[in-house]
Amino acid sequence: MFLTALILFNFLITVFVVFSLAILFHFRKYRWPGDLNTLSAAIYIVGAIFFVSLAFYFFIACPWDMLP
Amino acid sequence: MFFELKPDEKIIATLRRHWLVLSLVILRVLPLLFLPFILKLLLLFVDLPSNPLIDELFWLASSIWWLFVWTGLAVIWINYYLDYWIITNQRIISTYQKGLFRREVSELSFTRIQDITANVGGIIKTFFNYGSLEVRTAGTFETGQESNVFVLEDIPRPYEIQNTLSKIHHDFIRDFHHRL
Repeated sequence: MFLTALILFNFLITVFVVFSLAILFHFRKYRWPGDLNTLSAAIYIVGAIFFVSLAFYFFIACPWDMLP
Repeated sequence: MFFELKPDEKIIATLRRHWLVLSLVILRVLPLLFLPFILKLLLLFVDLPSNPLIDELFWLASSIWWLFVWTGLAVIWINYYLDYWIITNQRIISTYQKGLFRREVSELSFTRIQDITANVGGIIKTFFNYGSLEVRTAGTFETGQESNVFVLEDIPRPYEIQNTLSKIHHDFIRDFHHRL
């Protein structure tokens, strides 16, 4: 069961990373001098790191040995 | 920049949709961030036996949910921020970002402009002074082809922009005829 959860968790994180890279690509590719793209990218990265850390914390904190 | 200015071309204005358009979309999506807390509150009223595994799995699912809502908010921001119109003294450049993987960039030279219509409809748009600006090109009225209409959607101060655009267009056409 733990292995299934790990595979599923990794899959979801991979999907998230792919979308994040696409988002960051847009922020970088279409930036202008003095626009908000760099700031937007920074805010997005901070939020993404926070939520990914939270997800990893809850994954590790889960008492997997209690699963039947 | 993704486009190059021609010699003697200068940017007059860069327009995006009104901030209220973005706010209304975010207001619809933002409650999704709080959905796990609302669910948790609702579960408190149901008399369920306490199970640490279920609790941890709930928060694990919530954290993954938040990851995707965060990404959704970023996509909304990209769709808003990367949709813009650049008015130069020679043309209008329009960029449309549709989702993450579709982008349209088009331009309209002032030589082709025939009619500029500002359209503000509804209480909210009137109160916050935003609306659409339709720029029709030669031949549109005869054929009725809406594809020849360049629409600057939900831009702030449409009447002011219409006047500015009209003036630039007039100056451009006058200079254009002088050069001929």
